[in-house]
Amino acid sequence: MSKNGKLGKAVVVLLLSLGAVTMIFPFIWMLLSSFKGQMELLRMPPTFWPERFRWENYREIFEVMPFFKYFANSIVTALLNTFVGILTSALSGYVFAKYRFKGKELIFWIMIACMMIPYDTLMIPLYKIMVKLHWTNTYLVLTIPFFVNIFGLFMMRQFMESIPNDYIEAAEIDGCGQYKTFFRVIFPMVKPAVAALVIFIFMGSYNSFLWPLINVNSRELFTLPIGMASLTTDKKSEFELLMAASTMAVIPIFAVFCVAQKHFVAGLTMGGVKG
Amino acid sequence: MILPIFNVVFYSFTNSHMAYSDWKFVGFEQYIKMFTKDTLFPIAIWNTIKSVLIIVPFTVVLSVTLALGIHAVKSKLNKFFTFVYFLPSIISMVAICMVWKWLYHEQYGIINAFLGLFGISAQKFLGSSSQALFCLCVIQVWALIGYYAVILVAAIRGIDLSLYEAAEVDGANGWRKIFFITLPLIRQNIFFVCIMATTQAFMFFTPVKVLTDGMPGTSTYVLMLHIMNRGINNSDIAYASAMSLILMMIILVFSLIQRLVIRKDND
Amino acid sequence: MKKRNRIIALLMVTALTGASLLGCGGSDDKGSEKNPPASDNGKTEQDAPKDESQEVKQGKTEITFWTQDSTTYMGWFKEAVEQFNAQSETVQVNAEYFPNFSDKLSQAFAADQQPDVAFTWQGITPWAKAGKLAPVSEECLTKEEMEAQFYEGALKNKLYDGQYYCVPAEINVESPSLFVNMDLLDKMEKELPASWIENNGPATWEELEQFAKELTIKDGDSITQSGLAYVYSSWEAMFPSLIWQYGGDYRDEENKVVHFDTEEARKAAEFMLKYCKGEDAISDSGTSRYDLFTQGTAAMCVGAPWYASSFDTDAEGLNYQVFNMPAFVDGANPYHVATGGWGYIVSSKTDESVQKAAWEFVKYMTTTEMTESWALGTGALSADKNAFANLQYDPNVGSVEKCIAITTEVLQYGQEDGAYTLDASQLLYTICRQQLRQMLENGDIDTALKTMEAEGNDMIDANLNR
Repeated sequence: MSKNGKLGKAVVVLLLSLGAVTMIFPFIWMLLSSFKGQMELLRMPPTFWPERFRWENYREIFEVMPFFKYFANSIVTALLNTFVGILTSALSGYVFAKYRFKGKELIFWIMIACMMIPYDTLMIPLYKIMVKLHWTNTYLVLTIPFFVNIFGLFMMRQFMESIPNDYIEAAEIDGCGQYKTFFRVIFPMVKPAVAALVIFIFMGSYNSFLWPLINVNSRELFTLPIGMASLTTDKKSEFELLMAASTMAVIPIFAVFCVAQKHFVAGLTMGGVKG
Repeated sequence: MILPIFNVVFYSFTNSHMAYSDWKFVGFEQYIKMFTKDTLFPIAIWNTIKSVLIIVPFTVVLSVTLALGIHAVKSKLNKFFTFVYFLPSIISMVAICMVWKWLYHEQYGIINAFLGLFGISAQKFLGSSSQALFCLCVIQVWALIGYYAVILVAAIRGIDLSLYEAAEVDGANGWRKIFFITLPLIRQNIFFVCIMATTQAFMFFTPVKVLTDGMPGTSTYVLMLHIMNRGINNSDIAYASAMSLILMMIILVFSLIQRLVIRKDND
Repeated sequence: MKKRNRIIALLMVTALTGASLLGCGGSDDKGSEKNPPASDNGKTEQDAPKDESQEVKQGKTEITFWTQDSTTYMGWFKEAVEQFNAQSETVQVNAEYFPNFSDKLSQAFAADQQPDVAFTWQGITPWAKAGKLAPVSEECLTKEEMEAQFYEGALKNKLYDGQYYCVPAEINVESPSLFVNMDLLDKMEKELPASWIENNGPATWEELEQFAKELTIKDGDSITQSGLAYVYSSWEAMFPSLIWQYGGDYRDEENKVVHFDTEEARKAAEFMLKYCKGEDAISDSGTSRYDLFTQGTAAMCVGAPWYASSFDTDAEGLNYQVFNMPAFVDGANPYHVATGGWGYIVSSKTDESVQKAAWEFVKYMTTTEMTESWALGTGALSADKNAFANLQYDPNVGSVEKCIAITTEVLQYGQEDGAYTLDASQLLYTICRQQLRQMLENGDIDTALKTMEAEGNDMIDANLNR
């Protein structure tokens, strides 16, 4: 049995490693490409290892755009959006998972339906609303619309639905109020899911491009994806700079991922309910 | 986020256009145009459904398998694998598409070089009207399984360990534990992955736009491409809205079917 | 307990829905949409802070100017705007640059948030019809002056209801240039026919096709090296060019319908089919063929003059030659598509003083010298007839200068692709493009032409009847 188990584990690790190679390949390629020249990058067949490491690509990034300003705008708004987004997603997910009220299913499915309309179509009316509110070209437009996240709501609802009601009842018997139940009992239980959602919301906000582009006119408020899009136009593309910028842009996501991953394992104490 | 949906419904019954401030009601004209005059619309719908039927089952099955696999690895490798499989979701789609373009290249592509080892002649992949759509779907599946696996790993981690202990006492082996404890308990999360994968598959766009732009012929011409070409890029917001709503209805129907299936398993 | 549950749940849901409705302002939206003046109020309110800063800048009228964000455009415009601001006593231009510029500008127009001046290539007729653009002011250029200064082809799609709404900088041609990859020719040990350099190109299509066949490499059915590749929009532009060269026309006199179900269009379609499919094919019908040329898997390609300037960055060090394309059809003139390209537009939503300042800026930017400088910087063809009267170039090597100079010589054969449709680019680059692509796959010329005609006329109808 245990020998069998070990063999099985070895096979799993082997298969996962094979898959991992294909997953990691584009990243390595992007990293190496960021050191190549324009011609080398577009050549067919391509080179894997750069002919010469062009560190100047990275230097050039800082020359063609105010990288740190864009970077700061992206990070600050993304962190704020993640924080608020997690709260609203978890709270509303809890409501939809555990409370009973009239038309719950209907409201829920209408919200889900919103997710099923292409973003590009929704953006036009949404932009007009922002104009009416005079929110365009301010930090408000980069944050408030991201505060409510239907994807997050849906995900949290699915996680919370699998929590047995006993826990909530037990907590209430122990004298916990609504909020205490939520923050002390439910929230810790879905911590791995919250950790995953942190990554998703952060990425969603950090990478969003079309929305800030449409809503922001001032360079002071540009985010990194807008700066990166300037490197490719219909007629000319500076792929090597794009690769260098993408490589640097990925770093905060790595950081968030590593922090969040620590919490994947926490919150395993579902067995620990008294009574 | 909800108000715009009413705007979209409203637009779809008018002749709204992004350049003009005025509009008038035209009833169902946009919808009639879609189904009777627009020759590309049925092609786009058909291609989209084909790609959904390829993408969704593969994504769901592979991401569940991947999550179970990652969970089975207990050592430090565990974190490493989670990270690596999530990488495609992090890095820029342009980089991903450039890599795949190379992999699929008819003369210099790695895949053809590999097939050559087995004496299989070079395939055209993205240049062939029978293979292109499938090849694009592979990219989508490849890029997304890590993303969903992260959700599912989080769900598996949340399972009460005492359930496994009880099962072991009853003498259940690894497979039985997976099928009778793990999978039923993360059913809600698998449902979530199904819906999200379906939605994303119906909105399949970036790799198509970047790599084939609907070609060869119309073999990879998907609905999102049509909505962008005919609607958004031509400022025809009314037609774009009408098509988007039809797309939404189709996704909703698919989602509700999936819900019914999952509910049935529940009983 | 249960009751409290329910109340809190309801509160949460209301808060949530409230947030998703984006506050009370959201509900105002529909009302004001039906009521256009309301949006004007919004505009003036937004302009208020601008007026304050005006006073600070000692009476200079500030205007905003938008254009595309790319290294070449931004580089050129930054300098030009600075020059303007330094010499102007009354106007201060604040320039903003955006990637995905056409999306950005369309969206801004949709919400009446357009800048005071913009430099764009997009079709202006819908905006003009909607009253969002100001016609070119007499102080800037009169109608007569415009017609004297610019090519007819560059002006046609800038005209709406008898008035010009855009001052063009560029005349946009799609397919009159022939590019040859000399490095590849050397590798294959082929000589360029000497007469090409003398005459700025091959004399006939047969001659070109013959040479292209020698350069085409096939592996079974598939083409591994194209002799003469076509690139994206040039491919669609080839179709009307062929129709004209066969002596037909898809536009009609009334300018209200298009005809594609004609003998000439059929011949054109057959020509294109033969060119990409079957035994005599010399071009691969794959995806992006511009890459093929820069990457060295297409020996020659047909295209627009701006490629020449793109080669400098996309294919540094590429040794190329550039010629004019011969007519596809024996004995015909080398007709090709030529329309108004990049140009300056001014918003009508601002008050008179701002518009006046805007036109002053446009006048400064569209002098022959400025247009020349812009065209050289970006590799575009100048819309100004007087530009590049004596541009120096070496006929033995390909260069931006040579490309611009020789293309200017054939501009007389440039034809407007149908501005009357109110949306010409949709006709060619959405409707025809898809039908042509489909035709290449299934070879069904009849259906393709009939569908083009039907969909084209539907689009014109919809545009005219709104």
